[in-house]
Amino acid sequence: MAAERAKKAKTERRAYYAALLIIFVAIGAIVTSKIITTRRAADAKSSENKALIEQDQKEAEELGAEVESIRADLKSIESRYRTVLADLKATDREFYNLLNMYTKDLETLRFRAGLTTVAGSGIIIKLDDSGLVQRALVHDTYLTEILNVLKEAGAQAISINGERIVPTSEVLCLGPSIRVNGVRLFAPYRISAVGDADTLLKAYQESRIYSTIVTQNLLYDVQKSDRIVIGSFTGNQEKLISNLH
Amino acid sequence: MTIDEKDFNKIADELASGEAGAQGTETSGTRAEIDRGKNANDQLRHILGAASGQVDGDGTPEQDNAADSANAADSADAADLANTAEDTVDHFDPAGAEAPDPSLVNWAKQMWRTPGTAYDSRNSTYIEPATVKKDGAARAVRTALITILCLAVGIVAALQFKTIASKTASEPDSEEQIKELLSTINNMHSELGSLEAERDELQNRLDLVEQSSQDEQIASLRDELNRVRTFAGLTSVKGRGIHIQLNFTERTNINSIQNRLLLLINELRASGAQAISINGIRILGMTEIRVVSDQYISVGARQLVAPYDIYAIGEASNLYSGITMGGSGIVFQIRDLSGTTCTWDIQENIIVNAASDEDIKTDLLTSNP
Repeated sequence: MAAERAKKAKTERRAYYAALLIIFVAIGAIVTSKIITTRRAADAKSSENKALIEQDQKEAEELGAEVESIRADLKSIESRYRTVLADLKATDREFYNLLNMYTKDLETLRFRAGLTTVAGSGIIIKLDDSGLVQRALVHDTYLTEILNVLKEAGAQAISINGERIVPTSEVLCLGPSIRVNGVRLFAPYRISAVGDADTLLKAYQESRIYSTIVTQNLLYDVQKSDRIVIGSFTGNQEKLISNLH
Repeated sequence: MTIDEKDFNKIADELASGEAGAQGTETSGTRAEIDRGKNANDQLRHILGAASGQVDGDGTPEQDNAADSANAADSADAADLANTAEDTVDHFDPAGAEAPDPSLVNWAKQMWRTPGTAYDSRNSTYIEPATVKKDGAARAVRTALITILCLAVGIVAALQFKTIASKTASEPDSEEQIKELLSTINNMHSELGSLEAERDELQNRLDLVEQSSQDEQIASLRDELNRVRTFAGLTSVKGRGIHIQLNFTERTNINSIQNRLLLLINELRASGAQAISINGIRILGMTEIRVVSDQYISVGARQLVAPYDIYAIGEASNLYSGITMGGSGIVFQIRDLSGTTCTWDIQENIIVNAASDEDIKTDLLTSNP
């Protein structure tokens, strides 16, 4: 009787250990498959990012090369232009002076109109809503208000992602992007403003819009800089004065 | 698999009588009966062990979970054994047996709570040592094996997940890098645009000087001067466009009217306005508009008072639909504010004044070499 019972208990124990084994095997299989899929996803993501980075680096290099070649072009044209003017100065002093006067006026005017690249101290504001899942977007209201604050603080040149702000510049929200000077721009937005850096920074950080941006948790960043370069307006001027008589 | 306190006590009592039976029969009973009693004791001890774990675990939910998993094996064991135990106990008749000695009950309760002691006493008293030892040793080995197995699986899984976690943790870096690169590319594009514009401009001038007559050169420069002057807002201009008049009072929320005024100007620009003025002040790129109080607004460092007349020259129909948007446009949003009035109409010969030279400040700007 006792032996029988012991045998029964032993059998049951065996069944129990078998069940335990099955459970462990199942857990092992689940964990393994989970690890494999997670790993694959991570690998795919990282290789995708790697490819993207390589592609972007290549594009940046190409752009860099293009910029250099245009700089070289510009230099050669400038030297040719100088030679021509030097010739003119030697042959026809009077016309040279007249031409020089007009050219200088034009150069000054273009500088004032935002048609040349300028530099100076100022601040760079960065805004980014691309990483946010929630509906906290950089609205055009925010951007117009930021621009207004900067203008009030005496900014003399402003650009958003390289688009120079001129009298006709709009800042329009277009879904995930914005439109400035008819050009679509994407986050992160970089507002560069040249002026008195301290005044600009203080005005910005004390503005209502700044606290709104901070509360809305838009990825923000503001930096002072001794030298900010702001590119020229590159749009079509003719089109922007076509209705003015 | 819940064994509550009542059951626990019941089992304890049963155990006590079982023990009493075993004790009682020891003197006169057969070997088989002793074995039976031992068996019952042995199994009940397990039940008690599992049950006490269970009862403890019922205290708090977290402990409960922990206890559940920790005692899962024990509980499974206990359930099996409980059945066997019941069978076994049935062979004893508690009622028929002598009433259990209370001290014995206490001893039993005490004893079964501490398995180590029970083993010792049983080895010496009741059980053939070889069987128990073998059984105990095998069990210990199994338990150790399972523990090691669990530990190994746990460590391997943890290591794997950690590697992946560290891998994915490095992802934000590459994402950051991509963002940085895109920003660089963006800037390079705009630099490229500016450089190309400069090059084209200089090329034109060079062509002009090299190929045109002196009169043509001067005429061309004059044209360009006028064009840039107009573009910069330094000339008075005339054309078809839209006129908006708005007014607000002390009942109007200053921040609301501030936002909407900026949006109105922005909307006019987005709809193709080429020249805009407020109360005769030309709005340039760097002109601020600030509602200071319900009494006045500041535009280009000048104080303007109501009514505010905004003129914009451009494609009049575009301007009109831009600000009205079929009834939901910015002019309606302004009109809906309390204490405001807003009217708009298309006009044929709008004059927008020139900005003065002082309106464009460049003293903090240098030409980029």
